Formats: sequence, C-alpha cells, structure tokens
Amino acid sequence: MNEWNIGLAMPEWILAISALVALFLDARTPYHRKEGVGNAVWIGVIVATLWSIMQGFGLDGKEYAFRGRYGLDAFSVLFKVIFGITAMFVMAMSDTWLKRVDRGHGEFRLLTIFATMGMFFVASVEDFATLFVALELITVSFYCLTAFKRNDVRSIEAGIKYIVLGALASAFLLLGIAFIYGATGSLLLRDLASSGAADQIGHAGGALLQFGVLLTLVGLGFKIAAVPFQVWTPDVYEGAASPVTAFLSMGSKAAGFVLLLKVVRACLGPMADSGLAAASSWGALIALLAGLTILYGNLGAMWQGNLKRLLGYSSIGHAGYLLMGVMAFNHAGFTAILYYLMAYLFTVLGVFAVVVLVNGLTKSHRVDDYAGLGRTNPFLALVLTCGLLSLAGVPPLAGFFGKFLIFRAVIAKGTVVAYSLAAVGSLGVVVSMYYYLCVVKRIYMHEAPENGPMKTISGISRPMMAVLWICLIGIFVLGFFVQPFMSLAEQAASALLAG
Amino acid sequence: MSALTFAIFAPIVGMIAILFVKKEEAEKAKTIGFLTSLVMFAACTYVAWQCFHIPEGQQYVLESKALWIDLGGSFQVHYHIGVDGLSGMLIFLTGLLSVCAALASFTIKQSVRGYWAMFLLLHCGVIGTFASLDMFLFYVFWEIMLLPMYFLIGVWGGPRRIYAAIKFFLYTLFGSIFLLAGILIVYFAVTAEGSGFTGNPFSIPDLTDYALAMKGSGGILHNFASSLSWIPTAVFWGMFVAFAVKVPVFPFHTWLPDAHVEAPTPISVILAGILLKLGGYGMLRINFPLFPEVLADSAFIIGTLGCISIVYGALVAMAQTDFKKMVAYSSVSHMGFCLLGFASMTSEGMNGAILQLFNHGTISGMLFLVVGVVYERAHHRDLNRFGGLMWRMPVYATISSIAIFASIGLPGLSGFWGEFLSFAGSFKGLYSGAKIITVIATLGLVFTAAYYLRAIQKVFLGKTNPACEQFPDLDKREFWMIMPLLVPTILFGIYPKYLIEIYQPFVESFMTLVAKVGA
Amino acid sequence: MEKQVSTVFFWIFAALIAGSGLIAITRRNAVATAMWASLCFVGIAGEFILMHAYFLAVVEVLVYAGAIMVLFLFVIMLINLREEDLKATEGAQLHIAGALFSLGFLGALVWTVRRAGLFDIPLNAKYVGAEGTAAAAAGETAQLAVPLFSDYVLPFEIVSFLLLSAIVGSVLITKRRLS
Repeated sequence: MNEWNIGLAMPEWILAISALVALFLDARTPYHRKEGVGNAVWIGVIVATLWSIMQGFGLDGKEYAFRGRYGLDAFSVLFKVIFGITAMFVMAMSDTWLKRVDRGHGEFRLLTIFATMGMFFVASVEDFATLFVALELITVSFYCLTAFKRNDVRSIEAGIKYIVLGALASAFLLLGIAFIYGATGSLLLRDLASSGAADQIGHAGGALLQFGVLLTLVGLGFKIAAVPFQVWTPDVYEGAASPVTAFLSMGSKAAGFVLLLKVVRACLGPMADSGLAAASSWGALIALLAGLTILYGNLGAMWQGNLKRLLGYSSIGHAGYLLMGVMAFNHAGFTAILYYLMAYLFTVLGVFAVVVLVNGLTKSHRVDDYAGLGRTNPFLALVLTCGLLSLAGVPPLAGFFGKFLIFRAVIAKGTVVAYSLAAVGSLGVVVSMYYYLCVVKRIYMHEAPENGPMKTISGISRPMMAVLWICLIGIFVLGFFVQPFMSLAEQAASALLAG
Repeated sequence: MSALTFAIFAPIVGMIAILFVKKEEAEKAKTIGFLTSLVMFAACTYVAWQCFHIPEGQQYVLESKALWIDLGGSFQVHYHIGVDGLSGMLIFLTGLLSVCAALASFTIKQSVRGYWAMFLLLHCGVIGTFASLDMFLFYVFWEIMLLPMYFLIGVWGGPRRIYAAIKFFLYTLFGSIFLLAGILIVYFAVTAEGSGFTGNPFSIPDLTDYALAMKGSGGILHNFASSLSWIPTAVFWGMFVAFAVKVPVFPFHTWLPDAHVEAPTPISVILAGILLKLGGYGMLRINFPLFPEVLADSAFIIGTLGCISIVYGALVAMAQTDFKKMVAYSSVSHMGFCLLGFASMTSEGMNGAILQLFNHGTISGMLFLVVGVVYERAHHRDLNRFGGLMWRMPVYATISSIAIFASIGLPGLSGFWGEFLSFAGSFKGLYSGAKIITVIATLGLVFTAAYYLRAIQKVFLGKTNPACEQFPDLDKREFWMIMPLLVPTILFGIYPKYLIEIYQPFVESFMTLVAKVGA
Repeated sequence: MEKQVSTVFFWIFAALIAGSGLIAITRRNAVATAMWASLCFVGIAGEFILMHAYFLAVVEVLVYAGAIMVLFLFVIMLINLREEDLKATEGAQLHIAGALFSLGFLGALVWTVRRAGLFDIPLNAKYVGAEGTAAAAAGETAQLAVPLFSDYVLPFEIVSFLLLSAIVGSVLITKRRLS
C-alpha cells in the first residue's frame, strides 16, 4: 500500500501525454487543419481504454498506487471503460458537429480529453483531495465546453448558469470535505469506512461528520442533477452543443455516481453494517430525494417541445432511478446501478448521435421537426426509437433490465418506504412512456411538412455510423444477454463493497 | 426445436426476411407476410392438436425449458414454454385469425414493409404470451406485443389514430406495471426464509402447485400474512387490473372504442379476437391460480364488474351510430360474460367463460371483417346511411347476419354456448348475491338483441340506399378471409364437444384448486 | 494571557472576514467588490497566523490579495463597465430567498458545531491531525511541502491539468476567429 507504483495509473498518463501532444500540435497548426489534434486525442483515448481493459484482466483484488491514494479494482476498471467508450462516442459526434463550426476545433478536442482524464481519475479516487481536484478537472472542462458556442446567447447562458451553480456545489463539497476531515482527521475514504467513524457518527461528536457527509452529498447531487440541485439541467442541456450535452448526460453523470457510490459506501456503509438507527434515516432521506427527482424529471419532461430540454428533464428522472439503487444500499442495489449505467451508455449516446445528425439538417431541436424522420431516414429513426424506448424501459431492451434490477433491489428491502418509492418509480415509468412516445409518434406518425428541412441525411461519417450501430446493437444485447454484463456489474459492486 | 418454439419464432424469421426486401419490391413483403401467417397457422394447428393427447399425469405438452437469465441465487428466469388445452385452444385461434387478418391486410398500401414487419412481430408476442410458463417470460412477451400494436394503430389507423394509439399503450402499460410489481413481490415472498417453497419462483406450474399446497394456510404470500396482511389482496388486485385493462373490464375499458375505431380492419380483428383474450387468459393462468383464496373473497366484486360490463357495454352499443363503434362496445359487453363465469367458480361457469373466450374471438373477428368490407365500399360506417344491402350483396348479407346472430347468442351458433353456460354457472355461483347479479346481467342479452337487430334492419333490410346501389358483392379474397371464421362458428355451435374436450383437463384442475379452498 | 489575546483577535478577524465578504457581494461596483474581497483575504490570512500557519498566511496575502485581485482589477478596468450596465436586473424576491437560504445555512452550521461540542474547546487548542504532526510545527514550509509532494502529489499534479484546462477554455471562449 505504501509503494508509489506509478505505472498503475498508465491509462491516465496516456491521456495526459496525448493531451500534451495535442496541445503542442494545436499550437503549431492553423485553425482549419486540426486533424493532427484530433488524431492524437483519438489515439490517446483508444489506447487508454484498451490499457484499462488489459488491467482489468490482470487484476487481482485491489491494487494501490501513490502510497494508497490511487486505487484500482474491478469497479474503477469498469468505469474507466465506460468513460473511455463515452469519450470515443462523443468524439465521433463532435467530429461531425465541428464541421459546422469555424473555430475552436483544437480546443474543443483538448477540453474533451481533459474531461475524460478527470473521469479516469475519478474512477480511481481514494481520498477526498483527489476527489475534489479530479471532479474540478471535469467540471472546469465542462464549463468551457458548455459555453463553446460563444455567439449563441443560449450557450452563454448555459455556461454562466453551469459555472455559478457548479461553483456553489463545489463550495458545498469543499466545506463538506473540511467537516469530514475535521471529524475524522483523515482524507482517506477507507479510513472513514474502517475506522471508528461508524461509532462516532452515532453520538454528538459525529454531528460534524454527518453534516460533512450531507454537504458532500449536496455537492455531488449537483453533478448528478438530483432534486433539489437540478435547476441547471434543462437550460444547460438545451444551450450546450449536442455532443457536449451527450458527454454531460453520460460522462458527467456517471462520474457523479462513481463518487456518490464511493462516498456513500465509505461514510454510510459502516452505519448500515452496524445497523445504527441513523442508517435508516439516511435511507429515508435518499428515498425522498430519489422520489422527488423521479417526479420532477418525468413530470417536467411532459411539457417540453424541445428534444434536448426533454432529454434534460428525462436525465433528471434517470438520476432519480439511479438514486433508488443508492437507497437500496446493498450489493443488489449497487449492481443495479452499474447495469443501469451500462445500459444508459448505449441508449443515451445513441439518441444523441441521432440528435447531432438531425440538427445538422434542421438546425433546430424542436420535437416537431422530427416529423417524417421515419420516412426520410429509416435507420436513424430506428436508432432513435429504440433508444427512446430503452430509456423508457420497454422490455426486452437494455433500459428495461436496468430499471428492473433497480426495482428488484428496492422492493427486496421490504419496508414501507421502499414500497412507496417503488410505487413512485412506477408512476414515473408510465409518465416517461408518454413523453417518449410523443417523440416516437412524431417520427413515424406525422408527415414532414412541405418544404420542411427534413430530408434524407447522407454522408454520415464512418465513426458516426459505427456509433449508431454499436448503440443499436448494445441496446438489444444488454436486453437479451444479461448474463455477461450482469457478472461484470456484480464483480464491480463486490469490489466497491470490499472497499 | 419444438413446434411451439417454431410457432413463436416463425413470425420473427418472416419479419427479418421482410426487412431485407427492397423498397421498390415492397409488394414482396405482402407475399412473405401471408406465407408466414400460413406457416404460423399450420404450426398453431399442430400445437393445438397435440393438446388433445396430453399424457396422463402431465399438465403440459410440448414443454421446453432453457435458462435465460441467471441473476444468482434463486433468481433464474427460464425460457420455459408449454401448452395445455386452454393455451392450445387460444394458440389455434391466433393462427386462424392471423390468416384472416393477413388476407384482410392486402388492402394496406402505405409503408407495406413496415406494416407486415409489425404484423408478424405482434404475433410473436401473442403466441409467446400464450405459451409462456415462466412469469417473467410471460411479462416480456406481454410487453413485446404492445409496441407493434402501438405502431399498427398509430401509423395505419384512422384520423384520430395517434390519440388512440397512445391511449392504448399507456392504459396497458399502466396495468402491466402492476403485473411486474406483483411478479416481484411473489418472487420475494416465496424465496424468503420459511416459505417452504422449493420450486422455481417464476415457474407458473410450480407456483400453482404451491398455491394448492398452501390453501387454507395463508396462500403463497403467507410470509406477509402476519405482518402486512393486505399484501396478498393488493397483489391479486394489482394483477387483476393488469389483465382487466386488456379484457377490458368496465372502469378500464375506455381505450377500447378509440383503439378499435381508429385501427385498420385487420388490426381490429386481432385486437378483438386475440388481444382481449389475453386478459382473460392471464387471469386464468396467473391471477386466479396463484390466489384462489383471494378470488373466493373477491368473487362478488368480480361478478359485479362483469355484470356492469355486460349491461353498460350493451347500453352504450345501443347508442352508437358508427357500425364499428357498436361492435367495439359489444366486445366490452361480451367479454363481461367471461368475468361472470370466472366469478361463479363453478364448473359450468368456467366452461362457459372459456368457451366465450374462443367463440368471441371468432365471432367478433368476423364482425370486424364485415364492417371492414362495407367501409371499404362506402368509406363511412354510419348505420343510418346504409340500407337494403341484402338485395345488392346477398352473400355478404347472409354471412353478416350469421355473424350477428352468433353474437346475439342464437342457439345452434357457437356464441350461444358460452353465454348459456356462463349464465347457468353464474346463477348457482358460490358467492352471495350471485343470483341477483345474474338476473341483472341477463338484461344485457335483451339490449344486445335490440342493437344488433336494429343494425340488421338499418343496413341490410329496407329500401336500398341510392348511395349503395353500385356496391359489388364479396370478391374471392373477402369471401375466403371470412370463411375460416364462419366454419368454426357453425361447427362449434352444433357440436361444441371438441372445444370443450380440449380444455377440460384445465377446468378440472382449476376446480380442484377452487373447491379445496371453499371446503 | 496569550489565550485571551488570541481569542480577541480571532473574533476581530472573523468579523472582518464575514463583514467584508458580505459587503463585497452586495456592491454594484465591480472595483469595490474586488477591494472588499481582498480585505476578506487579509482577514483569512490573520486567522492563519493565529493558527501559527505563517506560511499559509503569507501565501494568502501574496497570491489572493496580491496577485489574483490585482489581476481582477486590471481586467475590470480594461473592460470599462459603465454605470448603467451595473443596474440590478433581478427583483427583490431573489435577494430575499438568497438571504433566507444563507441564514438557514448559517443556523445549520451553528447548530452542528454546537452539537459537536466545539464551543467548549478553546479556540487555539493545538490541532493534531491523522498524520500525527503537531500544530507547533505547522508554520514551517517543510511541513507543508513534504505532504504536498509525497502523499498529495497526485492531486497536486491533477491541479496542473486543471489549470491547463482552464487556460485552454478561456482561450477558446475569448479568442477571435483566426483567419
């Protein structure tokens, strides 16, 4: 545990080196010739992801680096692979999207890889100091990515909102960390999980720790867009460029959940183990937030005429379902969260890939402008439909099993709180079905208006085509062949619980 | 691969074949779709035939079982299928109606490939649901049905199709969430410590046996009976709602008229002929066998709902001027007989209800086809704007009249037996108030006769409406699409023994389940 | 005697921080805000001194009050905001909501600290961290540098990328099209 073992963090170093190479190339090339930057970034992400996979095969229990402040286990490997795939999909989308923009090609890719690097670090976080800076690395990169469309008022507004609320959340997080440190004298997550923190948290001295945990959860709640820290989501989703929104909805959210799981495991795990009364009130608090998040997200999405706003609200709803898994707080719940995120990866990125392509044609995100997509672009319509239905949780698509596992974990709790939460979740499913179907209906059942912008989209780039196909196949595979992915999720959840 | 698996996945093969058809040759999709439905019919007939010889001591035939999802512990979902007389009969009905509906679908001109792909996917879901012996698999097939139906109504339907499609989808989804929750709660209850259950927690046969063993000692959810005694009742009613939406039972029926009126003819046929049966089937297969005691306690409510459906459906049908809407409401009314029969928990009542499932399938299928034929000629369905079709279209009028009289329940035609036995059973029903409810329900018969006779008079008799002068009689395709349904209507009207024979083992085992509880 | 003196100074600095911070966020004029904010930093530096963290105190003044605030002022004066640009746009409701929220948060803080029994501990009690280093030595630069470049070297390195990302981002947002 006390070795430096720097090589363990090789995926991050690969990303760092490729970022520096890209930065160097960016500085030396004129603005319209940024292929070099793109290539460096692509190679970096691919190699880093492959390296993580290799590490996953050779992994034996948990390994540490940097004197125990960087850890690698099945949980972190799984998330690094998820982040790597997310980054690749987002880069494929942004390559398509950047063709419509005449500036900032190099910077866009650099910021993407910086954010990816932050996510990789987040997956291996072992103490609060690294947690904070890694999270800030992600967030700062996203501030700039969100405000990327400098000439678009919406984009600027989104950027400002994201910065202001993000800074507030960071402040809460930092204060929370300070309280936790003050109470326990250590920044290491595993000290919290193993030391006398569990005993402390019960009596008055533990008030500091509890307050600290609460503030930390507030900070992380912002990242995952849980009620009551969700207000930024629809505006930012709408204002940001579509590839950024895709990155935000998958990468940033997953990163938030990695940390949430780690913190919850470290801070609340000992309580749950020792069966303190406080554990159930924490569970009730999380259940309340989960229920409100589901209701807010799904009810809010019903009135949206803008697809990206709709997806923003629905993303709040999905955060609620994931929080249901946190509320279950056991192996089954964590496994369900991991499976849900894997399914969400293919589903939501497939949807955004179509959004990016259609936006290039119609220059809008209005749901009405998707009318006639089924006739003009059958394949894109198919991907979008399968994606939306999977988001809604129609069996036997990927999203269904994610939701199913979550509900299973919650109902297994057998308490009245759990049953009520499951009931609220079911209500959310029905409501979400309604608004997703409203989009599907536009795609297939409305004709494109005469002289409307909807035409057959040609010249879809090869990486983009690959993204569409992989997402489509992924949506079905994760629905039909649950087993292999389930065992991945189970291993990762066991690793998380092992500490 | 068993014939049953073949019957489930043959439509999928056909669907994939259609996806490879080129846009210019869209007509090929029609051929593939029709041929697939013929193959499906052959397979379904074979499956039903097998159900006549179920070996002694065995409940299901053509059983196959393979592990599908293993989430560790006892959470093992199997691809477990098999048929007994009840499901065999309904699978046969599915095969039969699929051929008729396929013939009726030849008039579809818009997005032909998509239509046939969805049409076949729908059948995969339906046959799969009938064949499932694993609750989870049942649920998955149940949901698979929803989507193609949504598209079939929403894309190829009438003017208000989008509204109707989304209403249909949300109603059914709302119900099926209760089903899923119920399945999960049953799973947790029977796998909890001290339940004494040794089988597979999703297997319908295992759970049914367990319910039989647990009669009188709290039922399959007896774990909850001590702490949360309302749970078994809640689960029963949750599942009941899931199936009642499909049947449809009185307060949950409002999606049906919209869906029927907007759906294209062949889809109305499938909707009325098969999908409504799934509701009744689900009750018989899952809802009642797992909770026989709750059923006994709730018989009055179920009977009342059935009675309301019968009378209310008939009254509303009487008020309609739209031919199709009238037939749609008559479905609400006729499916009420099934509930009346179920609630009685007598052998006659069960026989009647199950006969009604099959016969309503053929008769209402015919009626929707009949409506479709006249709609294609007149492009409206207003009962007041027809007249004297008897003289212009004699073959058509004859067939239609037979269908209508069968629906009224004229002795000698198949509709009679279901209604008669349901009433006979209901009259000696085991719950208090059964007699009054039955008497009120017979009112429905009077109303039914009234609106149907009025329809015959307005459409077929009287002076020929000038607008209908030029209507040609049935062509060959139309004749042969109705014929497969007409034959069983007459055949089983005269000689219902074959039909009764096929599902008799099911009724017997069901009666033992119910009887032991009552005793 | 030393105890009482440092207690008095603690409260003075605390009032300075809270007061100047409050004034800073209520000013319309950006220059005034920046000036009040640097006063706030000076107060924080004072608290560091009371905790014998002399190096941190110096850094606080040098970097925050000195460098960063000067940079801010420089930028503010460069963009030359006019008076009418600084008029408030939000209604009073938002201010009230903000004030209520802040007061509530303050209450929660005080309640927590009280419940944890921290009011009973003397303000200048020597802090002993998990690493076992006594506060007496905290003023030495080495005490800060050793953990920073050993245990916390990973976050330290990530911070360098964080800054790089911020620089790239600000270039992206500010630069004109280079054609």
